Amino acid sequence: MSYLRKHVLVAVLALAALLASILGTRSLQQAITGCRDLYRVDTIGSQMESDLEYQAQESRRSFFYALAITDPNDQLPYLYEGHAATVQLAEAIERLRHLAPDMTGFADQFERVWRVYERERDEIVARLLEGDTAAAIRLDQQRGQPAFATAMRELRALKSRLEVRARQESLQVDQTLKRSAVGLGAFVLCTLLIVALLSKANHDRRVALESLHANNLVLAEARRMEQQRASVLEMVSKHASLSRTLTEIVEMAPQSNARAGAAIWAAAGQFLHFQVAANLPQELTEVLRQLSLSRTDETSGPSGEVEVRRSVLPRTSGLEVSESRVLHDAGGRVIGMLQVFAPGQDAAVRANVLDQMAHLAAVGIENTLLYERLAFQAQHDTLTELPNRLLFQDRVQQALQLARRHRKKAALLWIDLDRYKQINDTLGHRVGDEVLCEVGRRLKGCLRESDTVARVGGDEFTVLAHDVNSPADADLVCSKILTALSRPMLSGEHAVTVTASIGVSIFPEHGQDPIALMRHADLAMYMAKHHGGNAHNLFSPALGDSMHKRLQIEQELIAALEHGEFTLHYQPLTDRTGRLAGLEALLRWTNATLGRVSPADFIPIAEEMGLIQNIGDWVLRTACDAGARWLGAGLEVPNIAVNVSAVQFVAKDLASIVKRVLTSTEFPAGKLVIEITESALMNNIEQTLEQMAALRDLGVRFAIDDFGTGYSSLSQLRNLPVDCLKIDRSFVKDLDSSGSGSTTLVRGIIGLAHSLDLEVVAEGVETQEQLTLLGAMGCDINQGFLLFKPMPAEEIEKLLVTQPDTRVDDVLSLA
Amino acid sequence: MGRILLTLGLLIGFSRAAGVASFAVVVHPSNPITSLRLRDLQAMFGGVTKQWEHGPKVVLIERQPESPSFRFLMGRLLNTSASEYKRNLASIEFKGETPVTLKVLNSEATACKYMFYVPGAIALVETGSLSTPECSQLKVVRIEGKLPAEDGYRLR
Repeated sequence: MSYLRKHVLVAVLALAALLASILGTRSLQQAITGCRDLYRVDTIGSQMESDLEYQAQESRRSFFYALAITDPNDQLPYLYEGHAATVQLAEAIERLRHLAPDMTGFADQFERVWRVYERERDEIVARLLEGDTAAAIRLDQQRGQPAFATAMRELRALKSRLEVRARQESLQVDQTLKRSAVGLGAFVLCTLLIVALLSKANHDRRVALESLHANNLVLAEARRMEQQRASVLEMVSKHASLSRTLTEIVEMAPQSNARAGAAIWAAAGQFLHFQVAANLPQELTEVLRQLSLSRTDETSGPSGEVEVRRSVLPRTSGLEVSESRVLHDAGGRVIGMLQVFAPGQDAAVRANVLDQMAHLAAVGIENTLLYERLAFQAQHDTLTELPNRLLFQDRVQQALQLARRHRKKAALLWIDLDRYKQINDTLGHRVGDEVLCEVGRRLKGCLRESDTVARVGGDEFTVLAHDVNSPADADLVCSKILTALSRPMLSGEHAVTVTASIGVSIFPEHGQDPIALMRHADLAMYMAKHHGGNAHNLFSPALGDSMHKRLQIEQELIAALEHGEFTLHYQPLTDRTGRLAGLEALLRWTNATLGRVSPADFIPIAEEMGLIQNIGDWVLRTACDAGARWLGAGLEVPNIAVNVSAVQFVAKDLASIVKRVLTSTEFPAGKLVIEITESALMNNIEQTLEQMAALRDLGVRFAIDDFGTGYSSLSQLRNLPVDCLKIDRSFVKDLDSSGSGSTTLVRGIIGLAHSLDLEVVAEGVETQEQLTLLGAMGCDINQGFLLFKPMPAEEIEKLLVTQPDTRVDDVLSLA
Repeated sequence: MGRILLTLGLLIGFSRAAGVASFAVVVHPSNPITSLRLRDLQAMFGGVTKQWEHGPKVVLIERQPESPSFRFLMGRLLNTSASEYKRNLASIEFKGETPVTLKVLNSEATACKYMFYVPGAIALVETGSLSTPECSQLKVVRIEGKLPAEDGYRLR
């Protein structure tokens, strides 16, 4: 029955009940009225009996008593009683009128005849009291008794009327009662139907309320789960400990089944390790704690293994595995497992709770793993997975505290791979990366478990060795490392051999803190590399001093050009006749703090700092400017040689810079000689050749400086657009007349140059013997303190003024 | 009427407090008489007047000889003695005249009850009895135009 129909029926029945109740009530009301009337009639009837007739008779009786005696003192009480009865009779008549107004006429009639009797009686009483008893008796017989009889007849007539009326009322009441019974029956029936329907509706409502209550419970449960979920996610977001988070999750198990417990495993390496359990017996928890599950791939999962071990569970706890969920991260990798246990006879669990637990557990574990990974990455090198500089410094800090407490030493090794850049450039970054990984592995293989290896830069590694007794122990470690690294490394089809330079600093001698120790080890490494690499070097305070000086140079060098601290000196070159054959521009730096700094000290630093480009430009421009000025002054200016570093040559715009300088200064390109060292020339031969070709097109000449110290390929030398070879001063220094090796080499170089149609300049000529020997060997041009020292531009200008007549001999004599 | 009774009550209370006896003349309520002269009263109680003007026979109500009202009747109103009074009444009867109807009653209350039943009755009662239920329905007659509570009332 539809809801609407049910309510319509209830409404109809209610209406019917209402009508029935109205009819029934009206009938009942009529019946009650009838009953009341009937009662009244009966009451009146009984009053007739008890009051009217009685009082009348009483009045009469009292009168007779009084009549029987003569003493008024005795008569009066009876007369008074009779009078009282008469009064009560009057009151009864009045009540009759009131109770039965329709009987008023009959009452009036009775009262009238009673009054007649009263009057007669009063007169008789008066006679009696006056003492005339005989007259009184006679009067009573004549008039009193008849009047009383008349009154009694009226009274009986009245009573008869009342009885008739009572019978009529009774019949009417019977009928009314029947009607009211029918009405009330209908009312009761309808009421019962309504009650039944209302009861049914109430039952439906109760069912609906119970359903609503159940829904509310579900909603409350859902809200609770949502709160728990929010709580867990908050814990996850705040990086609460994994065990705390997972405990919060497993404690949700009773929501899936009141008697359920749960346990969670989380990934660590290749296994899933037990983490937490809740609502499980202690012995079962202990069994589960021993289960380390294999972290297999997604398809198989660890549940198979649990399935195998499941058989042990009933023996220990009586519980069964109700449900299990393999937990995956966003990438689908297995990161954990959730098991819910419940008694065998009541093993059903609510899937939505289980799903939420699994989801939250997966989020918590994944977040923790991610967080751990991030923490690892923050402190480790991603390529080699070795600690990075940050973690290494922390480890060193801790190691130093321990060493300080136990009065022990520790060694810090700074390892830099030699020519690693060449490996990267020639074999590619992939091979370079593999080499770095292999270096990391080999370094770890050389050290104790307690020692730390870190990668702190591109090809830079550091090692912290604990409990080093002496520098000799550190030497031993270094040798071991160098030996390990020297073994060829196979990367694909390439076999790569690397060497390394190692600097060592010892705590506490070489520093009290990680920064100092690392800096000193780095300095020591630098020295090892400076000496050719594949070696190790122990830091020393002297090394520290030199590096201190280097640091000062670095600081002052930055602003030197801007402050005009550089000057150019020019060293004249002479031919075999002693005449001026050229000038070499030499850079001089005079600093307010450092004083005069040797170019050998600051040029490499300037190259490393990238300042050499600007300095080189300044030198070129200054030299050309001076040459142009001298030419403009009408002086005969020889070729001016300017040293250009390898760094300038690598820069692709050298030719354009030279061209711009020559154009702006109007110095002839043919008088400009660019000197480049043999080693610089050979390091970047292809790029250098390209630059030289461009410069050659401008008309610029070239000289190879420090010839003999590098590894020039003679075949390449033949193809270079070089005009001059400058024999390194080290060969000139060792020249003697006995025909030593150097003499032979110098002779060979001169012969080679001449065979290639190149001029030869001997540098560092400081003695007459050297000059004589060089002359004898056919050296074209000489340069050295024996002939001319470098001098400022002003002095050169004076020299040029006198040049046509100036010879070396003159100069020497002047000197 | 109420005011009269109140005045009577106050007077009675005052008289008793002062030790002065006072008497009232009462008749049946249906009796039309409202005032009597002292002489008329003496004539009624002396047996001279035996019928009311409106018709009924005068019925004298008296108390026992030792009662205050009887002594007042004898001593102050009729100025005679009890025996002389009886003799006088008897002589009236012996003369063949209509005898005087006289009823001696035991108490003031009985006297009042009696008077209620006899329309021609007249009685001399103590004013203190007027407030009793039995006497309150009777009519108090003015004597020489005055009620018992008024000044100059003669039956004190």
